[in-house]
Amino acid sequence: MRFKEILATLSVVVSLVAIPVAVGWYHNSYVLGGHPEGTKVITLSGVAESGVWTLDKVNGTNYWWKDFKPATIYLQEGDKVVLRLQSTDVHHRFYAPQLNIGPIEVEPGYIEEVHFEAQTPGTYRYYCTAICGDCHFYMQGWIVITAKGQSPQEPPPLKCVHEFEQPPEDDMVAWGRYLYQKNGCITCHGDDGKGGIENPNYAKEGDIEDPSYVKGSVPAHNTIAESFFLEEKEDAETFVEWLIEKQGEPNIPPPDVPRFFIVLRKCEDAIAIIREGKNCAKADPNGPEPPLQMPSWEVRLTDYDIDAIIAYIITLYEWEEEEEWEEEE
Amino acid sequence: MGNHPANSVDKAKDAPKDSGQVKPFRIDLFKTIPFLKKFCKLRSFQFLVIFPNLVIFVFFLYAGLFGSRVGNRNIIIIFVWIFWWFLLITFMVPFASRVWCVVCPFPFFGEWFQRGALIKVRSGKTGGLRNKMFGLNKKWPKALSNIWLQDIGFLALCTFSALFLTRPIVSVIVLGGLFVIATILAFFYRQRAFCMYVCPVSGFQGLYAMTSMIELRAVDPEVCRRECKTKNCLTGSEKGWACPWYQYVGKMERNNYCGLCMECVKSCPNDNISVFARPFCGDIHVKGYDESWKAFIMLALAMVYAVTLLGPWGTIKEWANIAEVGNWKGFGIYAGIIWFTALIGIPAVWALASWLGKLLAGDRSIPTKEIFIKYSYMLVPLGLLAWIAFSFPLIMINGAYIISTISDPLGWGWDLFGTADIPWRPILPEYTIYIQILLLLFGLFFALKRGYDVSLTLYQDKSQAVRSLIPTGVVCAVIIFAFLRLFIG
Repeated sequence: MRFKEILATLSVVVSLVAIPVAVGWYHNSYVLGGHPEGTKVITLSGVAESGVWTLDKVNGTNYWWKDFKPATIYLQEGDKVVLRLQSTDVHHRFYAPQLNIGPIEVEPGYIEEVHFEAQTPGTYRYYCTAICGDCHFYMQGWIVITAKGQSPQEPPPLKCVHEFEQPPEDDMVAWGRYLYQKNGCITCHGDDGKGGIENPNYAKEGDIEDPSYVKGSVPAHNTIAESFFLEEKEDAETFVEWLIEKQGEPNIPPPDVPRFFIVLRKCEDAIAIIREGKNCAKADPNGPEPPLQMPSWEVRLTDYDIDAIIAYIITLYEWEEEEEWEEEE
Repeated sequence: MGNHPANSVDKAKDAPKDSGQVKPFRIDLFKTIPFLKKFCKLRSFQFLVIFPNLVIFVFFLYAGLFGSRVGNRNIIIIFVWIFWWFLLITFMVPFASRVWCVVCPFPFFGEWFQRGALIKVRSGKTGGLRNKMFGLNKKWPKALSNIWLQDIGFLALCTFSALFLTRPIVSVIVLGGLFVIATILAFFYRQRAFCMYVCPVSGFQGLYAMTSMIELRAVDPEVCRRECKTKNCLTGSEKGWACPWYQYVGKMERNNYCGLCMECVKSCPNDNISVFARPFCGDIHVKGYDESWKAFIMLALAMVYAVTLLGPWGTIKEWANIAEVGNWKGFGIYAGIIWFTALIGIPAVWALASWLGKLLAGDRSIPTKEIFIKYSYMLVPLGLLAWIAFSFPLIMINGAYIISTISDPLGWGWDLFGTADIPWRPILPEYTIYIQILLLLFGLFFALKRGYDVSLTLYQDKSQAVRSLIPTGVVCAVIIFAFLRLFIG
């Protein structure tokens, strides 16, 4: 009996220790270690709440409180890589168009493996291209491939900010700025709408029916006043004031802005794009999709919200300070 | 108040007024299957059946903590809340009584501490027992010596079920919490106080175990009465531990509070205890409001779950799903409906039906309270079958997840048996409704049949008995009709 008692006690103690050890051993040896020698196995977890693809381990113990870091993946030229993509919450889509990876649908709880070889040195952006939450547009990162013997560049990570200071809703321009930041418009259109965000696989003008929206990068917004034919700062201010006033009173008379009806038409076109979205055309019809597309905001933004965003981006235009120039002269 | 152990050590002298059983057909399984008796008599029996389950349970907790946080890809969700639940309610309880309590890992460490042993028995004295036990060995407070805590605990847990049915970490908190509470209580209170009075799973198992097709009983109660002076099944001996559930087999007449640990089989000096096969719904006496309310609560939960999970009403699903949707007002309404239906609505209807039954019977000498409590037994087979009818589609819809998670239990991309990526597909969905109809009608049949048996224990005149049964029988029929309406559409 004494022997049985000792054996039983040992069984309990050993099995309690053995469970995590066995799980870890199997995972590292047979799942991660089951690839050819020298292969870099990288697990990227998609986290909608933080708006990141992260290298951090994500599980129930940390998902609800941890602010996960966006992953920058550093590779050496010639590295053979297995990318294990998993979603920890909702449906994501991984896409690194310049490396010809994806788009790969990543369903919650499932692992998708991508095999590739790091060939051409460079800094490549990857994305989530399935709208997955408030931080979706921030869900981007970098794959940096460095030639052997060289030090890698460190591109700036993009991080979703949850806590923007919320202005009163009736301050229309401030409200538009808030929405612009909160909804991640800046991730494609740049800080203060300056643009410059590359959208790989862009089409060249003439290749498609409507080249107006096809750019090498996502359209900037700080020139929208100009494209609305608002030539003077005063005109822009008057138009914005009119936008504000018409909220409570839709039938107010037109403002004193030159070519107002053209301005209004342009404004309505912009509103339609925000409301309905607009896809960027493919350069090669058989090639991959451009990763960045203008989504439809119809469900998530009210008419007032959209007008507020328009009002805000009109104010982004950097007007020349003529009087000061005259004084200097 | 039910047949409560705490008191049963003390009250063991009280003879039951009637057997509380449908008699007398039963088969002695120890005689029919000698190996079973040999196995149950092994000193290591409890350890051998709990230990593998403990290992699995710890693995599940590990998976819940560190595995995928996506519910349908984590074994703790799929195996506990879908597979285990289905096995428990559909097979274990109706066919094998509280067999789950035999293998349940919750009390493992607490009992290990109390006994200071995993296999051997310690002779000695602890209170009135013949075993040496560690810990404070306090008696459970008399005011709580019933299943009200289990009633309320289960209701509270089920109110938040959308949380722990979908989130592995919440399941870990719930299951791990029960594990810790069971262990802590064992330091202070004697034997399995947790299982008897606190464990929310234990409460409904006890009630529905009355329907079970097996029972542990004295082979010949007369032997206990005439020849046994030591009551070793209750107090223990050098061969077996005192009954952790405080039961004296000589007078045990119901399955409710027998955890089938088989210690009594070992300690009985007359070899007078066995496990018997018997007809469905063998025990027919509900004792006490706490047990009646357990029946009401279980029925209410079956109804609310069926409406929420199987019904077409998206708004109710949204209310229940507080974690994803965050509609606290809606959740408040949902919780209010559950608690009101379980604690007030159904009991009120039952009370009215019992009172009408008394009027119809025309015999004022039987108190309405007694009719109310005793007829609440009708809701035991009814509730059990309603739960089975509810659980069947769940297993048939989610069966594919069981097969895939067994290959990838943590959602880490494993494929142990080559089934990790099998596509989700419901199993024979076209037959589900027929199975449900049969189950519900079977439940109604047994509710009425056993209700009639109960009525005959109240009224000697058969026609009085039948008349008294009409209102509660109608309530049962309406409930089953409502389930059928919901399932058939």
